Amino acid sequence: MSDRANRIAGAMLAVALLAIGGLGLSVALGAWGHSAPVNLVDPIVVRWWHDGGWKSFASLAFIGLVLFVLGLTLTWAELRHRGPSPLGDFEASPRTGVPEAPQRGLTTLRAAPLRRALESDLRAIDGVQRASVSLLGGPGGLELRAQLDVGDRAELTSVGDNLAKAIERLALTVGFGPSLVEVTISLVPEPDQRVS
Amino acid sequence: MRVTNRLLGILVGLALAAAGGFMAFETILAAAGQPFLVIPGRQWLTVLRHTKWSAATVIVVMAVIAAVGVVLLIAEARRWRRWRAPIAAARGTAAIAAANGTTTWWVTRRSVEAHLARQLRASTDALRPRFRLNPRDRQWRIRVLAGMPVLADQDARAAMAGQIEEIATQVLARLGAPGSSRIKVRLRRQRRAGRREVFR
Repeated sequence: MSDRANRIAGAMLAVALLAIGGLGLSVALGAWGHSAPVNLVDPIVVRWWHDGGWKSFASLAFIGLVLFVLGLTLTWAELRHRGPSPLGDFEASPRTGVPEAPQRGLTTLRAAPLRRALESDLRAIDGVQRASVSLLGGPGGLELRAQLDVGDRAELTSVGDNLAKAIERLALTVGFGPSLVEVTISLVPEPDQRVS
Repeated sequence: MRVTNRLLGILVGLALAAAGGFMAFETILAAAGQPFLVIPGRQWLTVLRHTKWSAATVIVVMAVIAAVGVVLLIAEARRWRRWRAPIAAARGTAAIAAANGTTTWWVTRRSVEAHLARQLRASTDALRPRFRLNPRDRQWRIRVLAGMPVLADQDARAAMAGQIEEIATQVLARLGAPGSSRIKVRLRRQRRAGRREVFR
């Protein structure tokens, strides 16, 4: 679920808890006078249950099933993957404008080595200490998400320039470039600043 | 809060599924004339039938439920600080954008806070500097809390506050934060070595 949906769900849960707690407190503290039930399970409720017969059991079982389905749906919504799926292996098309490009046969590119190669390329940039890359979508609309740990003293413009070059190399290798690039950097201490 | 909310969603979902599943299963068993298998239903029913609403336990439980509701409602309603902030494009970004598509650069909030604290420790005598960054679209707000020696006079305090602001401004400029960022510095005399100061 999105952050917004989670917030709404959390607020709804909060309102439900507030209503249950507030109502329970008002009954417990006698705000309802003599009309309020005395015991948690009132004899009137017990009588309704017995009068209902099989319908009472069916209603309770139905409520249980609804809660069960609701709970599973909520859990699934939280756990399922959102957004574009990771790039899988794909077939490279011959580059246009290259006369000697092969006209027959297929070249399959594996996504995992491409990702690892790009990570290694990014790690080689001066100042970058760690790089993690996700390639999402497909050849029609590739998304590149990179997380870089960059040292305190690194020059960010230089990191940007080198990242652009690394992406150009990737585009040259696979025949197309990403349509969306998202770079998240974390500023980390330089290795000589760390206390071991 | 994003992660907490997600975990809460998973926990509530699992609790609902378990409670609902047991409820349906045990009700069907009871309807078929079988005893409860998993939950001690009869014992619970007896307790609930003989516990009064005015019992101290009931009041405490209801108060706790209401209090959790209030705390959760406030937590969900208040504005959260972003976990990362957009920063001005680095030079290479323009090349990527021209060749392919959109490029966005972000910096994680916590790493900026830690970076600022490291810069301050390296360049000033500030003790235990703590930064609280609230990156908004048009303005980054930074609150700094730092300790200084007990014997430092007013001039030294003013000088240190100026130094801290200058360092923070330099870091923000380097990151490409919005120009109108606001920096608020609070200095405290460090009473004892090792005393932990927190934001209030």
